[in-house]
Amino acid sequence: MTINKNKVISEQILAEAVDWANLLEVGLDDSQQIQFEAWLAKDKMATEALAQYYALLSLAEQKAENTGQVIAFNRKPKRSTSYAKWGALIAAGLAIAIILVPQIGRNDDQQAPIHLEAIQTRVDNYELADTSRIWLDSMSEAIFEQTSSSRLMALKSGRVFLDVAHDKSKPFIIDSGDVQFVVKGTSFEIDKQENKVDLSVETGLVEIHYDDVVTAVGRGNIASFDLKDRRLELAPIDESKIALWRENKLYFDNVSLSEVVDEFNRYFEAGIILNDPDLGAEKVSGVYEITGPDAFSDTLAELFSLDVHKNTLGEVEISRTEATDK
Amino acid sequence: MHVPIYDLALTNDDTSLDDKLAGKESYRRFEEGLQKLPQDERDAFELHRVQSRTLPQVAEELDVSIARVRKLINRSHTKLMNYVWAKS
Repeated sequence: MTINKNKVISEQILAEAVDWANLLEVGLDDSQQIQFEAWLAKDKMATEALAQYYALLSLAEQKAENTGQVIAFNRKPKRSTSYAKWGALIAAGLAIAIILVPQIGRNDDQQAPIHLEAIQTRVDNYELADTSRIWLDSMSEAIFEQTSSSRLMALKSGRVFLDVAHDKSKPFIIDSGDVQFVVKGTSFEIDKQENKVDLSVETGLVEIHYDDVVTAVGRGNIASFDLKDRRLELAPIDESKIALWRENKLYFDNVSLSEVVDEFNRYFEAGIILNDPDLGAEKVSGVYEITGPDAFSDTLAELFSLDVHKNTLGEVEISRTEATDK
Repeated sequence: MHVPIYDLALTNDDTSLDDKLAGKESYRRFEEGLQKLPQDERDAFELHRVQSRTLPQVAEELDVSIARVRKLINRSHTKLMNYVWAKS
């Protein structure tokens, strides 16, 4: 969908569109609604003019972001109650406005914040202008912003793997809420969970900042920060097992089956259900391919002698067989 | 899915290349159009639409009435729409 530049809209209609947009912002009464509908029906350029108005607002918003006037992430044009009432028609105008205003004209020193979100079943990866790479796992969310002196990422949820290009003058800072990670050039994974944040360093060195403490974590180590006790624990980790989700694989080392199933369910719309709560306490280790719930549950069935069947929703239900119950 | 982040908004949607280019061109013309506005209209538009100031704040800043600000902003909208899209 695009605004048709070949059709000339009279200045009068443009001015009327501005007037109507102003009224829509504060809300129309019944009589104004009728007049508004009549105005739209009178000239097919009216809709186009209204679309242009919203596109113009988006351009102004873009300018605000480019000049640092707007700090809010993913700020969208305001919608008044009456605006929403006009449903498809105005929404179409707004859609045009958004489509016509991509992120443009950014220089490398100052970028507006960018919202990154990987929905269920998808792993996304991004590349920065400085060649740094970001992998965002399924069901994860982060916001990235670049300023003249730093590269900033707020990890809202889930996990991210970063391969950060070395830039001494522009540290890469990741804020997971309770803990901050500072790097200058390295690759590592941050996994934000409910009660802890895990950092696994593949190469280089990562500084962890929390409260007034700074700890450096080197290659081949995993640092787990307990959010409740605010305590950091370090342990070695096999670098080749870090963030295997980038390759459609998952690695577990003595992890409960319920956690393993939760992990797999990130990637499948119709996931796996453990019917027996005790079964969730079983421990699992190894590397598993994320090919589909069937393949994984078949492996589990073999490992633990379990009964696996698919329900009408396509979910894979796992329970103990009668033999294992006894 | 791999996306260069500096092109994120350009590539993470369903818009066609034509639309993306149209977006860049629109922004360029928007900036150009702003410079062509009379000073008072440009100031009013930028304060209200870019810097998110309220109409009374803009009126105070420009030392004019709110009605005058409204008129300046409405005119700037119309002129900019006309400049950005009507004459390519």
